[in-house]
Amino acid sequence: MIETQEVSKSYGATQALHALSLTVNPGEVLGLLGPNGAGKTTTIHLLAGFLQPDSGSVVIDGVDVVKNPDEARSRLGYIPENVALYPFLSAMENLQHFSSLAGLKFSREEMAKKLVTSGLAPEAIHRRVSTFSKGMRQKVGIAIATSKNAKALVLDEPASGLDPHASHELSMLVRQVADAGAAVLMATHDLFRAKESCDRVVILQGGKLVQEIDPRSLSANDLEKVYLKQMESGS
Amino acid sequence: MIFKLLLLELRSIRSDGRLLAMVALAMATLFLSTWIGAESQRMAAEGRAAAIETSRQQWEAIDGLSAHGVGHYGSYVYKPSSPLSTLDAGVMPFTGKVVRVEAHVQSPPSHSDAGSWSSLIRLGAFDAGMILSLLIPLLLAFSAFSSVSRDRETGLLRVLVAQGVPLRSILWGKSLAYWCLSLLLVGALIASHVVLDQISGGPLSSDIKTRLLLFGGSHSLYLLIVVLLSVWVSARVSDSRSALMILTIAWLMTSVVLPRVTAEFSSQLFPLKSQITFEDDMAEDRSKGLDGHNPRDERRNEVREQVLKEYGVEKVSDLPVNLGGILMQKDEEYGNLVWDEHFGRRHETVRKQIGVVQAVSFLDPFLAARGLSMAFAGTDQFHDAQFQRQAENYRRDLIRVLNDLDATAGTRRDNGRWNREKIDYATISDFEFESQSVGFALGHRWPEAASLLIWVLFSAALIQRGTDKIPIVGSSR
Repeated sequence: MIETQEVSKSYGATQALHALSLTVNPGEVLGLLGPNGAGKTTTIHLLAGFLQPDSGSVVIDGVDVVKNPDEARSRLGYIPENVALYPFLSAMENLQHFSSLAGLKFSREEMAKKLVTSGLAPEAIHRRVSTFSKGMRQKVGIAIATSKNAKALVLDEPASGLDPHASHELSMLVRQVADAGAAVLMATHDLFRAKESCDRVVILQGGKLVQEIDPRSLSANDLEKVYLKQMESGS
Repeated sequence: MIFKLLLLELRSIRSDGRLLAMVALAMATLFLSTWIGAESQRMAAEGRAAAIETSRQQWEAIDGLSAHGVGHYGSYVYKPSSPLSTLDAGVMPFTGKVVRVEAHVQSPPSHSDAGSWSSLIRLGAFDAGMILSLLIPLLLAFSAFSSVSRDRETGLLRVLVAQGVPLRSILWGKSLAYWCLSLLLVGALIASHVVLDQISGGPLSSDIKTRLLLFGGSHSLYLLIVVLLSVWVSARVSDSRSALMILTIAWLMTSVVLPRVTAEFSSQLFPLKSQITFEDDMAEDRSKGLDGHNPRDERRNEVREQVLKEYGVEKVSDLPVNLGGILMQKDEEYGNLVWDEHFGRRHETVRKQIGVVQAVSFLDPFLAARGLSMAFAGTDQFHDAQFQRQAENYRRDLIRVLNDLDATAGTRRDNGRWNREKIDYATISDFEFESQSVGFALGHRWPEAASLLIWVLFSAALIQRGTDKIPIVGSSR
């Protein structure tokens, strides 16, 4: 489970989050929508323990992130908007390295399968990632995060740089992870993918949760209309 | 985990062409300086051997001079180079390496390299010790300043931390990787020195081996401090540019400004007399007596009366010995007391000056590294003072032998005049310098060793326990 209770965070005079409370249950995918600067990335960084909240609590799978960040991170998978990897290593070497740092060990076949499942072409597996496009790096990042089999997965605009096919595969993968019992929180601008993979969607605006939507009850176009209406009323 | 991160960081360094070029440049500079040092030492040794030979020939060619005359004729002693001066010349280029030994006069060492070479030496010796303590730290700071901040800016730090890697492990991995580079440089330097030594000489003595080990060890510890602090600054400061600025300023302050300010401050606090004043004061004390109430003439009369009483005679012409030789030796012994007093005071002042530098070394590990480097190379002020002391002891022994010969080697004629025997001066041996053990170096430089160890512990504690406030995401979020 992913849980934030009354979490606030400011950067100097700028209040990034106002008493945000969210809960993502196991097996659920929650979409975090909002314009630039709404507080989506700040929320993700607080969940991963990269930032400390000014007030409130952040809990991953029952572990307080502030009090026990290392333990909380061991239960968390994280995919950033721009996945950074070791450019002088191949995709497989990167996966091997990051997995071993997390205390995991996979055979070469298993790693190849995970990379392919994440959408990477088989012929790219042994290539240095310095030759990769942003989308290809993103796929390696997805493989790294999902191979932890973490109880919680947070994704910060993971489809950024992915082609439509790869984005669709990512949606399917996220769904699979959730179906396997993980709580998934995904910040995204892509309403179509949110509709495709999320059980619930919340809209953040000015650091506040302003609306919660069940995307399954709406078409993608209707979801966009609701979102735009919220943005107009908020501004 | 740290070992995995260390290996990966080494691969990262290996893939960075600019960094490899810097390491290659540093290694080439170290090799070049060692080779230049070895060549200089070889030339200096040849020059010294030729000078000793010439002095010996001149000495053995003395004919017809009285022992006292030979005392005035005098000789020279030549300072040998420390075997490790190829690695760190220390203060030796600025101190004299030849001492004239003669009766009545305690000459200061002369013919320093700085005085006789081109003005290049005045810019500081181009030696491995200086390169390791001044240049390599700057290269390490330039290499490590972005080691963490770059990963933060690219987002790699977030991916690593999200995998459950503790920040301190990341910092240790990076620090140890850069330290491995340092060890590579120090190790290659030591190996090249050993090879050059094997080519030019024989096997190294155990004392030199220990000194070499401690020389490399002290530099390695200093470079560890530089690496740990550079990585910590890179982690603690929000962006690479700020980290570079902080490290460059820190290098400038600790390696350039503070050492000079400290040296100036110590000489203001404990000023040394100029060489002219030093010699004038000694001459005056020798003439008037150390307390100013025991002039030379009175001292001579006292000795004369004592000798006459000892031999039970009334007149000098009845003495079975040459009174002149005895008077000369007694005057020499008084001069020795004066020299001991003045040299002792001067040495004490230098010790106090070094004490100030040693105290400041607890704030500035560069000073600690420099002090230890020179001490283990056998080229610091303490080792130099040993040469002066041994040269003076040789002078005293030589003049005493000559004065004894002047007093006893002869017979009294019937007319009361002293008839000197012909003396073979070739039997008098040359000066032989007794080098100091490594314990001598450690005995004088323990504050610097303590400072370096404290700095290592402090830097390691920063990495181990000071990660709480290290930002994982950049200021731009």
